[in-house]
Amino acid sequence: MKNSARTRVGPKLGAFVAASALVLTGCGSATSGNGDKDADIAIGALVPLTGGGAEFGPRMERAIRIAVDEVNSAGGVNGSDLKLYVEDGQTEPDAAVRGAQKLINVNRVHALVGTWSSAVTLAVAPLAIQANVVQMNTSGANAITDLKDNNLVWRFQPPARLTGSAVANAAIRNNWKTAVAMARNDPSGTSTVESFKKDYEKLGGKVIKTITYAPNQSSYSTEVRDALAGGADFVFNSTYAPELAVMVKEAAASSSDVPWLAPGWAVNKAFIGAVGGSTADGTYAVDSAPNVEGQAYQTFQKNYQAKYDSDLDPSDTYVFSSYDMIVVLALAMTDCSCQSGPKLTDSIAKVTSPSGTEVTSFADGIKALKAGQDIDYQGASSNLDFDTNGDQVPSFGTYVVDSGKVTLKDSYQLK
Amino acid sequence: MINMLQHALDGLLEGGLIALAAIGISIVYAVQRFANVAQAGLMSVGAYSAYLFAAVGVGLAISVVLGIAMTAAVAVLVYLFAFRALSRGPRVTLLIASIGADLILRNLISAFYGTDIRGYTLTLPKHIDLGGLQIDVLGVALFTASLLVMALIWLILTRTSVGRDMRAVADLPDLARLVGISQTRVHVYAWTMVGSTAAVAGIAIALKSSLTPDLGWHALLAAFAAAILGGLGNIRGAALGGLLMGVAMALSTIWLSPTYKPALAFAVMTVALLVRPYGLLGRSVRV
Repeated sequence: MKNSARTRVGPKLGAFVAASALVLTGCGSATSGNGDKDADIAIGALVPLTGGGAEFGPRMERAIRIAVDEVNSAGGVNGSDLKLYVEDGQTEPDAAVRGAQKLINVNRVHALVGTWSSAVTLAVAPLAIQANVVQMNTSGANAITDLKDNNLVWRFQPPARLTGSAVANAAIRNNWKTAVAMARNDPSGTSTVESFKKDYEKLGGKVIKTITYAPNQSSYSTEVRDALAGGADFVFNSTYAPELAVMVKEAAASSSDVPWLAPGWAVNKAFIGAVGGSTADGTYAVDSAPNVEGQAYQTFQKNYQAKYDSDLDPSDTYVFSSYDMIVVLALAMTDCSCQSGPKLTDSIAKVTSPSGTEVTSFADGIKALKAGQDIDYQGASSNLDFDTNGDQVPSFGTYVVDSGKVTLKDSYQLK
Repeated sequence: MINMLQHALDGLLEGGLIALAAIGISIVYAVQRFANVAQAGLMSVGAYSAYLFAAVGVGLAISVVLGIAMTAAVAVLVYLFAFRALSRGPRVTLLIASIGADLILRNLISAFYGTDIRGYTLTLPKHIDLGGLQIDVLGVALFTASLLVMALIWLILTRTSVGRDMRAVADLPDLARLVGISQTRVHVYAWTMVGSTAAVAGIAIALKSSLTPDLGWHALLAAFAAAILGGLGNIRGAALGGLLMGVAMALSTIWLSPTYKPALAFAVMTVALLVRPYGLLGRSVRV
């Protein structure tokens, strides 16, 4: 019954969409008919300005604006300027879908960049795929890898499943040979600890105790005592900020000086504020790392400082990724002289593939492209090498809280 | 042995806070005969009321006192707006109203402060080593504070005319009305106590962990289990139930994964009720 109703509505809806599209394209050609310049290329940013991602969204938008300005002042994409449309995804899938529909159907964008939460990315990706629009995100969920996306979906952050092996690598690089592994009892907590144990033992480390604990308790004194009694070189705690805050406070009150390490999403500003700067100091975090040595990182930092009069922390990885999204997109569009379709997605892979000449900005990139060279854009967020699933070959960093700030201590690529 | 003693001590300190929350539940049950879910929201309100003052630079001790007063006022307002009009209705209506009140309180906090964790600025005292036993100084201080609050409540209930009226309304509400005891007045006193104890419990939990709007909600299950274990409506029972619950949960981690700690609270409660269906100190009612 439901199905037959749908099939009857389908053609009507299709006709309506087609008609609206005709009207809109009609309008489009009317406005761009002034002749002196090629039509602008519409790009949509769907960033989390409010909701759970609000800590990052506003700066992601700024980064995207800086990149758009940079592309346009270097002459644009084969003479066309990028035109940016911004919508607030609200860190809510339904709000983000409304925003994506507006960007795709009304603003006719050629790319939808800057989605942050996995739930949002998974909700808007089907719309982008259907409209043949490139989607660029900073989300972690494994399901994004498995999307049937015609190569349209590009992930600028390492998938969350790699966090466990990144922690194992961080520990070995720190010369920590024994660990107590703690997991908040939820799918992410336990699976991260599982993958950590496997890789850590492969690299020669030894997990002397694993403690899985119930979430949301007001006290973890027995768990913390248990963890510290083991005499391990460090405690890895796969958890979120609230539980980590309780445990780090309890550990600080004990006489132990065993370091604690947690995923980057737990060691955030709220965690440091709640625990208090001096108590949080010395807490380690593992997260994806920006390309701090690279020219793109330094130029972008300088431009950001000049335009907004504030500094970015290396741990603001989503912000650096957002900047790179626009640069990669503009380079690829320049390379293929196109704005959509398989030619564009092939070019995205091409301008980031390690076989080309390394370039660190849009201006350098187009110069090399005009000289007939293949290029490899080295981004602000990472060297930006993608695998065939459109996932990034990850570069991770070990961070430590120092004087109440999360600072980068060491970075490395996962092999 | 020392390990077991350590766990028992940790549990006892934690149990003091569970007891405080359980007492709030039992007071409401004693005078109004319903399970007050809004206890959770009031605990969160307590923690955030103190934070409200602490965050603008008021000293922690004064912030705590102001926070307790503010939470008591909120509790009385909740009573006046929600539970007074319903107090003659079926108990399930009151229960559902308390779920609603709890949601409103917690969401109001989220609206003002967001859901990110926050904390008071307090340098944590180091543990003291006592013959191999680690004494958690903050835990002992908070435990002592909760014992004092419990003693105060006990004094009010047994030694003052307010307490006498409250017991009268709790035991024989109709007779109490006949002799001229105002039910609303007694309820306002009761809710003042509920708000104050909830605030102390909430602030203590926040000092040990951190502030989130759901702080009270996460503590609610153990508190309910403790109140039921002690015999719903019985204040001494709630205190005893809370302490036992804390010790049992901590001791269990010697043999069981700490994952099962919350479930253990209910196992203890179930077993105890099989032996004593009216709770540890509850009275059996002859029909």
